[in-house]
Amino acid sequence: MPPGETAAETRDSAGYRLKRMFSSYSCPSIGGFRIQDQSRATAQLSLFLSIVVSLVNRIPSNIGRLNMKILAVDDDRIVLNLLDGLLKSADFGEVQTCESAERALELIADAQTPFTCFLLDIQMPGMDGIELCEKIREFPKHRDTPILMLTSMSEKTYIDRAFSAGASDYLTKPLDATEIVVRLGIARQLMKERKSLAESTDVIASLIDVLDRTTQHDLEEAIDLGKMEGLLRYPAFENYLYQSGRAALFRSTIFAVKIRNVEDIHRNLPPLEFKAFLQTAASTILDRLKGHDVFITYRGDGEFVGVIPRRGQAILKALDDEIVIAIEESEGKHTAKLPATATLVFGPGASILMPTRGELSKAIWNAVQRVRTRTAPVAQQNQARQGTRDFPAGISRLRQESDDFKEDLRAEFTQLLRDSLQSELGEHRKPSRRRQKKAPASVSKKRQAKASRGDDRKRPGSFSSVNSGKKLHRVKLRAGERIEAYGDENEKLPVSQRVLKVLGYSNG
Amino acid sequence: MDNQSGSTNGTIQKAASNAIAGLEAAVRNSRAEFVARLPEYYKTLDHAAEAAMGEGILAPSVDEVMFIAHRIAGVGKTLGFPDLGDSARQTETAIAAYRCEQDSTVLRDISFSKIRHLAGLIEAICAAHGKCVS
Repeated sequence: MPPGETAAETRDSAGYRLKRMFSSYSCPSIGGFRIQDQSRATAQLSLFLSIVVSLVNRIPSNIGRLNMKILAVDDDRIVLNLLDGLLKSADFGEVQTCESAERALELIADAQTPFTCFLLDIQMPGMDGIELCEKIREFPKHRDTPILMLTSMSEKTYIDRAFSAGASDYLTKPLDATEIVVRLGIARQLMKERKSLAESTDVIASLIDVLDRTTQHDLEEAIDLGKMEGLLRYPAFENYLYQSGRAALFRSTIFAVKIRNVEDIHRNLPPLEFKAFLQTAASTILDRLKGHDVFITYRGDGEFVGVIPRRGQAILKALDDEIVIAIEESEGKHTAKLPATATLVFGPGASILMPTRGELSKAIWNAVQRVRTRTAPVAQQNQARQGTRDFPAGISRLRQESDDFKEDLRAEFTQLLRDSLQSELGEHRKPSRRRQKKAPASVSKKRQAKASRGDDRKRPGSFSSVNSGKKLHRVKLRAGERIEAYGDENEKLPVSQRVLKVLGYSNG
Repeated sequence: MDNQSGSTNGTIQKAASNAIAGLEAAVRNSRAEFVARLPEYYKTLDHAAEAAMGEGILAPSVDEVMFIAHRIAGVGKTLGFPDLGDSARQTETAIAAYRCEQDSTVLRDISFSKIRHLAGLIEAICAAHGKCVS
């Protein structure tokens, strides 16, 4: 190892590069990763660190002791003898000599350990040094090996040709020991740097592979995309929907957005880049719906689901069905296979009429199904349509299910109105014994709570939902049966009493 | 950094001094071999000079003369014959120029002169080393 150069320094420089690499993946969570849960985080971090330690230990500690294997080619035996004596005395390692380019090519081809430097005389009978230089460069292992041309002053016109043929440097004859030592020292340094770089590159490539493996997500996984205003993790999104009051979500719209051909993108992007791409997609969606109190979540398979309040439906409809976003240049192995852009496809929204848990789940499912249909290849869409035509029984079944669904909705909404009316009656008059018996315990509790809050005072002529106080102008109860909030023929009666009449609870 | 730079310089100096020592040893071993070649070189150069004087051209033996001049220019100075090395280089350069312009009598004459000078130096060295060139 040359003085002033230690294994520790080499390791330090490799460590520096590793540190730089990790800093590029910096994340507020553990070890540069944003990891789904603590146990997984611990396991991944442990695996990662163990592999890092093993990889860093693979960096050779004797890199400073790198010896050269030199092949000197000259048709003059005396020149070869001088070079041999000079190079061996200067401790440049192994030196081989030969007197013709043809023999040199044989030695190069047969070498068990590749040569690390070549000294070639330009002017030789037969194949000259420049042609030999070109031939050497044709060996993949010698694409970057230093080649120093030996030339007398009168041959300087050949130097340009030599460099064009791939020469790294040249030495002039007569031989000067100091010049040769310096030039070969530079070649050795160059070679050492390349070797170090190659090894560091290998280590970094291995670490990136490890990083990719430990951060690998399945396509269908609902990846946590981190913090972003309006972006929720999928469980949080469901909780938000289920825990929000009915009135808060009434007539809200669930919509879905799907990334077209997301399978290809997932396959060809490294995991961290895929996650970054999803973040870009989420950001784009939120940006388009900015100012409309929208919440979205990523549910896996390149699908986002969102909820937008009633007043934001117009903007949803006004949006283009498709948004094109750029895919950033990848550092992965499959960059060439990646398209330059990806398309976000918005599916038709599914309106929430009755925000019960079942209704919300159905709305999510419907929204996702609609966007899947929209993103499916044309052949599949036609097949789906064909399938519908071929199986009228299926249509009947769907109609039946639809009718059942509507009936359920009616029943639920009737219950909602009853709750509301009971609240009003609780304020104005005692409910009938018959109504008391029918009211479920949960409803009674709600009624009591509402009465205790005393927040359900209504203006005459208006009808409000239970929680939000939003006006309901027209409500469909049963087929052909409507309650008009305004313009009723008997406007003297409070709306609550009119509704009570329709429902059969009126005692007057 | 300065320490490292100083150490690197020291390494190069040490390697260079080792190289010089190794080169001197190689020179001692090769010098006799080089001197042994000189009579053959002299014959070739002398023959070329005589032919050129008679026919007025260098063409028939120009490649051979060029080869000898190149050989001597490459190692002459290193082996301790600086004048011989310089003369060989000048000869090589003159012949290279003449080959580019073979109609030039000036370049031909310069080349002829350089060949004669080189042959004379070889003859002197051979005489000094007890080698007969005739």
